[in-house]
Amino acid sequence: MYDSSDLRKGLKITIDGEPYIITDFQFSKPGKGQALYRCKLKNMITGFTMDRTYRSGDKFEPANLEEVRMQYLYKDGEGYHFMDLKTYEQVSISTEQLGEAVKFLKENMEVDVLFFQGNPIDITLPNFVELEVVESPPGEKGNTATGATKPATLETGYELQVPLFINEGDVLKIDTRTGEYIERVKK
Amino acid sequence: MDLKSRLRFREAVVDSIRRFFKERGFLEVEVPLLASAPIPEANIKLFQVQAGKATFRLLPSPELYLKQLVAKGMERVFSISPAFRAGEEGRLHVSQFTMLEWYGAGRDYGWLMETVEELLPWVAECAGNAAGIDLSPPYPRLELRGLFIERAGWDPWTDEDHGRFDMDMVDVIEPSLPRDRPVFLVDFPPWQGSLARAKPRPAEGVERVELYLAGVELANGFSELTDREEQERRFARELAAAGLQDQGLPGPFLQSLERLPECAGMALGVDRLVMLLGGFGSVQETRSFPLFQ
Repeated sequence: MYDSSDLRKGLKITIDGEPYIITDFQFSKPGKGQALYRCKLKNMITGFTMDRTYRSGDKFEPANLEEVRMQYLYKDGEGYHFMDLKTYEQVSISTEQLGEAVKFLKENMEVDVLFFQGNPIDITLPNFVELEVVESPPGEKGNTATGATKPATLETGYELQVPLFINEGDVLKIDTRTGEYIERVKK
Repeated sequence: MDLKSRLRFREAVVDSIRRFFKERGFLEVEVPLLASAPIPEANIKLFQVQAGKATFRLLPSPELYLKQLVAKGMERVFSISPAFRAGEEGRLHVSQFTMLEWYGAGRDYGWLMETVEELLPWVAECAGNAAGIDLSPPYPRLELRGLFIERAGWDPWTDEDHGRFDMDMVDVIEPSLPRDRPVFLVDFPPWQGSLARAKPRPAEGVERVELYLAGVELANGFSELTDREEQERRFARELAAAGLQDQGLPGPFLQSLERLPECAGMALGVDRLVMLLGGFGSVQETRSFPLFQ
């Protein structure tokens, strides 16, 4: 158990059975009043954020989270399926829970799957992934200004802006944290 | 800003405070930092120091000593003193901090507010105001009761709920205060200010004032309670509520109340003032060393 004096930014605690991470923390003591601990909390399953103020003496259950290296296998009606490369155990995570991450998931890619009380709740992608362009019409003629871009669709269905020299079949390096094009890896 | 520049700025703030009070005829004093019986306060944790068989507490506030000096005839006194409160660490808190405290005999809390309105512009003029806060007086005086009823939806004057009062101060009242200039919260509930004098009609609360600057609580003051019996009752109640009976009552202070003239005093957090005027991110950045390494 944690108590109020353990609260700090980055601490993970359980509230109403769900894991939360403290994203902002402020010790407060109004006037000659009692010590108060003001927290911004993010639900690690839903991403929902909330403010909570705690008093000294309040107790908190730690959120026991575990990360396991797994390989992405395939997607079906149930969701996205991943396999532990050591134990061959498989788990699935719904599209809603993965959120933006599905834009960068390619079969056989290795990711870190986050477990809370034995259930997979999220994944951590590599910072950079390489994905093939499946569609990118040539840029408009005459548009040669430096930095000019055009739209492209990648093999995962993700659409983004790329430089004019990119063609269908090229493999691009993408930053998964910003979703931006970094460079062309292979023509 | 590097450490040396920050400490130079702090020095300029402290120098200007000292000059301000000396030019107005105040006597600067030093008080013991090892106290035997400090103010009984449920919400302040004290550091204990053992010396042979004697137990001292590191001073949480110079208030009781300064009032004894006022009772001994020193009509205007001030100190810039270290103060110690265990377990208080955060952006706005450090367990050893520096407190400015001043007293004036024959004065009330209205005088405290006027003093602040002269002090802050003076300090900013001498030391600087990198954050560019508007310090031109007068500062609004907001009645706390009205704020509570309007913004928190209840009346702490008729409903003595300590926990809810503290929570709403932090979650509702403080965030709603203007941040672009200083503001005074005036008159507190009857049960909020164990050393403050009651208003002429006691049901209206106590003559206590809190100064907020940029949303940060910067100073706290009262028209002082000078009634010995009433003070002793309040202290005994506070000790019992906090389970601190072994701490004992501050006898010499209570005795001195029999000679204490009407007076008013205020405590101001020097580290916070340096932080706000210098535009620093925390009180830790205003000090020469971190407390816990």
